Amino acid sequence: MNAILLNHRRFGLPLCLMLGLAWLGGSSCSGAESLVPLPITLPPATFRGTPPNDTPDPRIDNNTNRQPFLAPAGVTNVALHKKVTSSAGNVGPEDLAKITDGEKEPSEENTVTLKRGSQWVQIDLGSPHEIFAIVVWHNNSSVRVYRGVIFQIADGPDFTPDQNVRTLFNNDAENKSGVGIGKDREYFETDEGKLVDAQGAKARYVRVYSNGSTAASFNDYTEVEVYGRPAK
Amino acid sequence: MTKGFPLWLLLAALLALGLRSVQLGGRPMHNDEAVNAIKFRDLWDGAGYRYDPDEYHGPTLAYSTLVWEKLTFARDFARFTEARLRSLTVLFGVGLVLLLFLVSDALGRKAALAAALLTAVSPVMVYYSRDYIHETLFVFFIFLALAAGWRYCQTGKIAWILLAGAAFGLMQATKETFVFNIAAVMGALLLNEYFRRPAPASALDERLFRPAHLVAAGAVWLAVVVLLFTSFFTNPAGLLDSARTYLVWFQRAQGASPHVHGWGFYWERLLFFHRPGGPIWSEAIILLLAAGAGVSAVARRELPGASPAFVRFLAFYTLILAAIYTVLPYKTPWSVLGFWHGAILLAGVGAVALVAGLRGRRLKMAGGIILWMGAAQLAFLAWQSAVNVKYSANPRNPWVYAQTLPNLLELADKVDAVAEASPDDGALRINVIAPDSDYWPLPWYLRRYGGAGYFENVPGFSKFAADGIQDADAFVRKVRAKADPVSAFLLDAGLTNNMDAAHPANGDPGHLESLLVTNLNRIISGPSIYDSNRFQGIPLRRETGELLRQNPHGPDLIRLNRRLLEDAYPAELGTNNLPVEPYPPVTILSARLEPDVDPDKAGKMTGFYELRPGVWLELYVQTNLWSAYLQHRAK
Repeated sequence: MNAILLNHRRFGLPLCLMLGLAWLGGSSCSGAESLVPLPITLPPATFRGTPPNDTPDPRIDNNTNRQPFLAPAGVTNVALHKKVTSSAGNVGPEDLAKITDGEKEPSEENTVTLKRGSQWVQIDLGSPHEIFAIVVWHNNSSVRVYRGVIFQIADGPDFTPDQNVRTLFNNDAENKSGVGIGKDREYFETDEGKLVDAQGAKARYVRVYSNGSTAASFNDYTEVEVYGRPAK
Repeated sequence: MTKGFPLWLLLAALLALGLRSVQLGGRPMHNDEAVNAIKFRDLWDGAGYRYDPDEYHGPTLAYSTLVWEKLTFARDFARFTEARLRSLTVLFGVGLVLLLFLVSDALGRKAALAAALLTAVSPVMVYYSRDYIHETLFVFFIFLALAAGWRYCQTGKIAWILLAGAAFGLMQATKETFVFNIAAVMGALLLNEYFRRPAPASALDERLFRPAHLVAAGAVWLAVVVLLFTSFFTNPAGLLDSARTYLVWFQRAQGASPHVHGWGFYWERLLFFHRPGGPIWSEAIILLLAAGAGVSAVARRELPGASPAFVRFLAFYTLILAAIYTVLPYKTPWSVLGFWHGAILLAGVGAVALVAGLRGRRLKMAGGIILWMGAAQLAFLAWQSAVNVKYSANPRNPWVYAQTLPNLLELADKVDAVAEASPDDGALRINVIAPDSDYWPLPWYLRRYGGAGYFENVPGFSKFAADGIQDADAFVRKVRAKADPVSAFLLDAGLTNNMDAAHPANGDPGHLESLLVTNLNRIISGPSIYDSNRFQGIPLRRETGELLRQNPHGPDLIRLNRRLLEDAYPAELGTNNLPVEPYPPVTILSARLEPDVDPDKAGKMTGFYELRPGVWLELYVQTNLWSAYLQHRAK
């Protein structure tokens, strides 16, 4: 009996530890216990006093320097003084003509404001052209981002599937205009305008969509230029 | 008109209520409103309130909101609305009109009614009564203190001076700037006494100020202060903090703040404010009438129905307070309320005196019509300024300051719509990331999302930020000692460049950290800093080792370099073990941090949103969730 007690004293602690570990191992490997997410707490918002009244984002500069866009010699703005039509009924032909009048100053006189919602302006180049670039100025009088901007070209005025419609740029991520989900990023409106590379595609009609901006639900257009040359 | 004085006063209060209540939730929450709301949430949810001497003013707003919300049977904080919170300050704004009942014999009843009308329609009073900030409560307590003090002078009843004492306590527990009001009251009393001397004793009779009453009022004042600042004895340190706060505000008042403006800041907004494309804003008629009343009182001209002593006191008080605020470099537009309310009370007296001074019935009628037209013009501007969504958050409005733009509401709506398409809904993981916590009021708009986390930089990846470094001083010392190969490498790589002049000993520890962060981020943005000899003996975390084996490029390489440094200096740099995936289903990111984002992992950048003028946020949604959202929307 004394020997057993002695042995118990000698081996008791290691035995208990081994049994305990075996039990822990068994329980962790048994698969019977369900797993739950760790209750990790995320950082709460840090309180902040009144922010400065004027804190322009240094990254957003209205005077960006775009690299020169290269195109064949002889390519010009073939949209100048060409006929403009629009989906918006609130502006007449005289107003729409300002979009291709060559005036790019975002003043009230030069800027055409289309009604809210997704609206387009369309330019008839008069005949098929090889198009290398389209540049659009909405309104850069303040830093803003226009929603749902789409650049399309087509052979016919209705932009129906049989008229060889091609989408050159589309940031309508929610497909609000119904021409497909856009993959392109939104961009800040600057005095350089938004240039889209058309890679010499042949078309007669150019259509540009927008769907309001971060500043207002209306759609503004100051100028649209189409750089190209008559198709051979 | 004065026979039905209470009724007319009530009508003015109703007008005030109308202008203050229409479309109360129309304007997006201001940074400060959202901070106040989220601070109140802690109190509402039982976590209590602690006074912060560095910012956010006193406890009265939170406790008043608690009482108001309990009385109106509010429930879950997630269901609170902007209008519900702002209704509290609306009540105090209307209260300013009703308090005129207490001083109708000081201003004269007609003048009190005129002041009631002007209080009701003053654009700045209307605008900030609809703002869930401390200002309207503050002005209410000031006026309560002055009105109760006046009543005590008239009646000698101790209840009034006890009420005045309580009001002074509430003032102190509302805004630290109450010291300026106390200075203005003292200065005005002294000046008034000087001007009163040759004249017979007026209503402000010193016999009424019994020492025992004053002691009792002081005790009430102290009791209110102790109760509120200690959060009803749960935070004794709050009392000390209520004194310590003046060190912070003293620095701020001297110009250590982004809110330093020239002396004309308030006056431009009050008298003639015009920005291209906006209307002309002016409350000059109030100043003209107030000046007339003030000059008449000091010159001892007769003011019909008014107490010359009280009007003179009011004129001095308003003048001193206006001078203090004009001279102080620290300026925020809501601070005008204190002295402008004094001007409005005086303008009521001035309006009555003007009409009374005109000879002949026709002239009086013409004067009356002009004054009514002036009041109508103010009411129109108040509507334009505070109610019309075209101007209520528009920088062309003089009272819009650091205001959230309506564009942010689009972001909040978009997050809600995306969450609806997610199986997680309210538990949706959202990372909100902006330097300097420049994401307010988003915590208010995202209050129902338990999975929203707030970060200063892109979690799990991004570069160092000043507040992420544990001990900048110790780190620099260790590197300079060159005791290990990594320190030698960092020193050679220019970690301490330009740092000598910016040592904390020179008084600007923040600048040292800023330089350190710049230099660290330059080093980790370069090629891999790993070298087996250099990092020999440094225990790397498991994830660091895994990342190292991947031989990463781009943002992951920056992350690796940062992790290596953290492993080499865990005590000094801290570890970036944020317990979140770097890119959860939804990320709202300051546009300034865009270069830090891994575009392949962040998800689809669905749009820009303007938080305040020039401050932009980007919304990223993981592509699978975005597709689910588009499908959900199509249904």
